[in-house]
Amino acid sequence: MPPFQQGRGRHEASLANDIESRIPRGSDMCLAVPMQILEIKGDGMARVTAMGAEREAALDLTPQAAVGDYVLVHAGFAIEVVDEQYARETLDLIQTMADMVDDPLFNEAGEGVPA
Amino acid sequence: MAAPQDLSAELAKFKDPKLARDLVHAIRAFSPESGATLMEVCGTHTVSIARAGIRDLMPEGTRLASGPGCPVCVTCNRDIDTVIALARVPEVTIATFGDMTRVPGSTSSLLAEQAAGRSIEIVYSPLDALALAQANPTRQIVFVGVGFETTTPLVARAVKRAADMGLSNFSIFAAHKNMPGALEAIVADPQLKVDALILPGHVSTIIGAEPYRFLAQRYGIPGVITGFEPVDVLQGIAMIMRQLHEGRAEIEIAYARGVMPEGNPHAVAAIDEVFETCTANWRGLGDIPGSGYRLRDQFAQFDAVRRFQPTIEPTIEPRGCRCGDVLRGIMAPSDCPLFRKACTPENPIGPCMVSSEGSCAAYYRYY
Ligand code: SF4
Repeated sequence: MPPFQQGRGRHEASLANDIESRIPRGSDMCLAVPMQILEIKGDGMARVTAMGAEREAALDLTPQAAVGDYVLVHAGFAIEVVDEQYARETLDLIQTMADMVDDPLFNEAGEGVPA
Repeated sequence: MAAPQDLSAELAKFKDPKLARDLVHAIRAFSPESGATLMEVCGTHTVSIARAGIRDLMPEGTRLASGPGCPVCVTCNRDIDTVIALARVPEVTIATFGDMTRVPGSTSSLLAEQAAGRSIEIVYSPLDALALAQANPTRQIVFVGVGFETTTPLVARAVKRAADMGLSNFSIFAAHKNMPGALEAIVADPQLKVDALILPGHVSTIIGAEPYRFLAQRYGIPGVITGFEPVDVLQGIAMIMRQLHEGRAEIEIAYARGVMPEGNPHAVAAIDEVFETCTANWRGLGDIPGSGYRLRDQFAQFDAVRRFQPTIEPTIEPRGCRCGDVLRGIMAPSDCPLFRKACTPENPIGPCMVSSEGSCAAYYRYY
């Protein structure tokens, strides 16, 4: 095990449970949740949905958006089409970073992070 | 037609505890032994970090400071007093996001004005304010335009739509601000000693990565554009730690699903069409040239202050409130002598305790 410094005396073993218990599940409808376009109406407005809720969003700033796309919605406007490809790539990148700590070389040295 | 995507499985992974734990390990391994101060400059990050308990997971010596990322909080008292003065104009109905109503100005707040019989409507979107104007032709609807680049293009579109419709009973109080100017004030301040920036996700959705580049190049400050789920935030911090570990200073994107390197050109064009930059006064940071937006001459008739010329009361700063220091990241909310004593969300003394995105409110709720 690498010699981790502990933040405020927190124990390694409790970390996973702790993170799990703190991660919010579901209910909040914030901007961070991409919404899927169900229908685009004639007036440049779209019907969008996420987690069972429906809203209207103006497509002024995302004229390229199509039915089925996921969009970020802020104060009644779609501000970006969420890129599916990039979402997957980000996850791969995160996995790579996460995997580094399982690397035996990395663990023995305690640092020796691959550049 | 392409089959509808289903991104929900991918999106759920950004809440995955196993990934989060592994990232915490990566952060600890990369973090400099001498410690580091990372500043987050987005109200949504303030809340994510507090709610997910991310501060407690950081290695010793790593400090996560909150910066000037809460739009309501950085709005100076003079601007709040101006909105209150507009609310006192008999024919005016104020349309505003909810956060703004409870912010204390020098002697009043929008909520107090509403209790005194003034017309205040809480709206979810600037388009709701437009709809109010259309539905109430005898009222003058004034939308309170407060926020960063994420909100500015929406208000710009509302103004443009009003112009196209020839709507004469709609106007805005224009107090929008942009982030890069404030960040320069932060990193150039020798008192602050910020080592790296957790850059805002949705401001960057609009402006992209380029406007931050000078922070890395001129000031040697690494920055990572970061999303909002716990895994996103940890990934942003891990990428920063890795830059510090490798001695690099670059602007990177950890939130690629929501941010293109070039931003959203439609949104930037929408801002440019209606607004031009000007000097803005920030609570805690003072006047910063080029960091505010005012209406271009062509849209000046939509400027509520110009239309109604309200009488604004002399500015009185809230006594004992340290919001200015909190917003510059030199003081944690819990170090303010009034925190949780005289100042609570029920009885807020400064804006940082009012807004749900404010540091003081986030500390109050989650620590
Ligand atoms: S705790 Fe209250 S008085 Fe102190 S800085 Fe925050 S808002 Fe101001």
